[in-house]
Amino acid sequence: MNFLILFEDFVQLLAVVPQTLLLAITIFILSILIGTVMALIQEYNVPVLKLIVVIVKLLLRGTPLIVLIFLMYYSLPDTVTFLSGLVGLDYNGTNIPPAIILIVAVSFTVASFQAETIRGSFLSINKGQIEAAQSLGYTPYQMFKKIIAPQALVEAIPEFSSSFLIVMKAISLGFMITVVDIFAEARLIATDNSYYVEAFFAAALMYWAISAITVTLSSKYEEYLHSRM
Amino acid sequence: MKKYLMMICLGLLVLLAACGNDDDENKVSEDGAKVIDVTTPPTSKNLSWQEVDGEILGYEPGVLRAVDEKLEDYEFNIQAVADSAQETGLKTGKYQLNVGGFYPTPEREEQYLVPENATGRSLIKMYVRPDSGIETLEDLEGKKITPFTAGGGTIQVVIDWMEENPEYDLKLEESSGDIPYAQRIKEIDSGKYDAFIGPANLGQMDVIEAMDLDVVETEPIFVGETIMLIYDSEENQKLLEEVDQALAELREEGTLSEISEEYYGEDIYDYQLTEEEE
Repeated sequence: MNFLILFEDFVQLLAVVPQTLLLAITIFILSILIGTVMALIQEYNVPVLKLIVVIVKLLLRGTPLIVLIFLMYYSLPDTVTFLSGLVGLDYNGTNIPPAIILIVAVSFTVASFQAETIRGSFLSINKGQIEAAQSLGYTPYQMFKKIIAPQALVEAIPEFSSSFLIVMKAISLGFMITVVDIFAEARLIATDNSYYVEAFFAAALMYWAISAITVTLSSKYEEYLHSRM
Repeated sequence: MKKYLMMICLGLLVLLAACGNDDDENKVSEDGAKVIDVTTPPTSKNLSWQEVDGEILGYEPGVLRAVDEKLEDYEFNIQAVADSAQETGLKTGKYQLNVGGFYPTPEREEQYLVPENATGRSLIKMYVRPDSGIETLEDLEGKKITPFTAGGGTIQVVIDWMEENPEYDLKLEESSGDIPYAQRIKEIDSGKYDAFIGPANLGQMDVIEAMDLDVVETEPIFVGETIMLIYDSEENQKLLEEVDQALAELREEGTLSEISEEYYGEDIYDYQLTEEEE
């Protein structure tokens, strides 16, 4: 191991950390939004939509992410061209930036797992509280906002922080379609100087640092939420 | 029921542990030759690929086997390994020798032992639509070129060319190289990209014919030599010398041309090497 090169690689990797984090945070937020919608549809037993959600979830959770990115890369541009044609727009889907394709693919995959986490945390709420709220005349929206969401969030925080770390690592598959993240940058650096072990180790250090920060922040936030309950 | 499950699990564990062990032991074959791990890429058809049944075929594995036959003190254990794992494994000494259409670079010569004699030749060609008018690298200005494999030799050739011809501004992108060549050729046909640049002899023409695509190949933009990489250690000096000797003999005997005919359908040694500018 050449420590000088390791250090240089690490410094060089810092340059792509902001864009990697931005991608990961975008995907993370989208996945929670989509996952919440999926969970709500299942919880409130919405006819037809519930069946679609169950099937889509099954497909997404069973598809290797690399396969999904590959399929999206080939089908999304045509789909977008077709859809925009339907509404009378002349948009050429082949111009979709690869980062968007990656965001769509990873968000939906992670959302299908988030939906389960979110459903689980809804179920953790005491039935008595919901009945009490109903008897007090809460609307479903009020009930969600005042009673379900605050408590479910506490339950879900640890799961969310690990799913964020999964997203961080999953986006390295995006290099297949030219999206450069920490790991891809490590490969590019190694390509340049042929010191693969150093570059990969530097990438691992960077991921460890990010995980440590994420875990610390999420447990702080969890404590804060607990202290308010 | 639970008992049985436990027993099955334990059995599997023992089996796994046993499998893990034999890696380190069989280092010497029956006739006393030293068995060394050599690697070659698994998915570059015609250059080197692995069949579904595990058989490893291609020009470079063909050369490896021919070299192996000549070496008395070594026996090759040929494995198909993907690119960055190949280089990482060679760097750490997990593997002793790699082939895979590698181009000679100063970085490689610094880190590995490299035989003076080449393993083979690599022709780089462009794949374009017949009406595109693209014949040389100059014509690529303002065109969309498919992303290059990061760390591959092709992009290096193009970068070298751009350094010599700074008046042409080509837009190059890199990716992990997981999108198969066949798919890239289709992207030329569909108009997503204008040109695919890559080593010929990866079976592109077979793909074009089989799928009836409207794509043609240009004359080679580069003809270079490909090299073997050997793990840099004291004891591998002997391996380096013997491999070098074997490669020289195989070239002279015409065996390399025969292997080329077998896998590429043409003799790569018929092409003139591109002059290196000093």
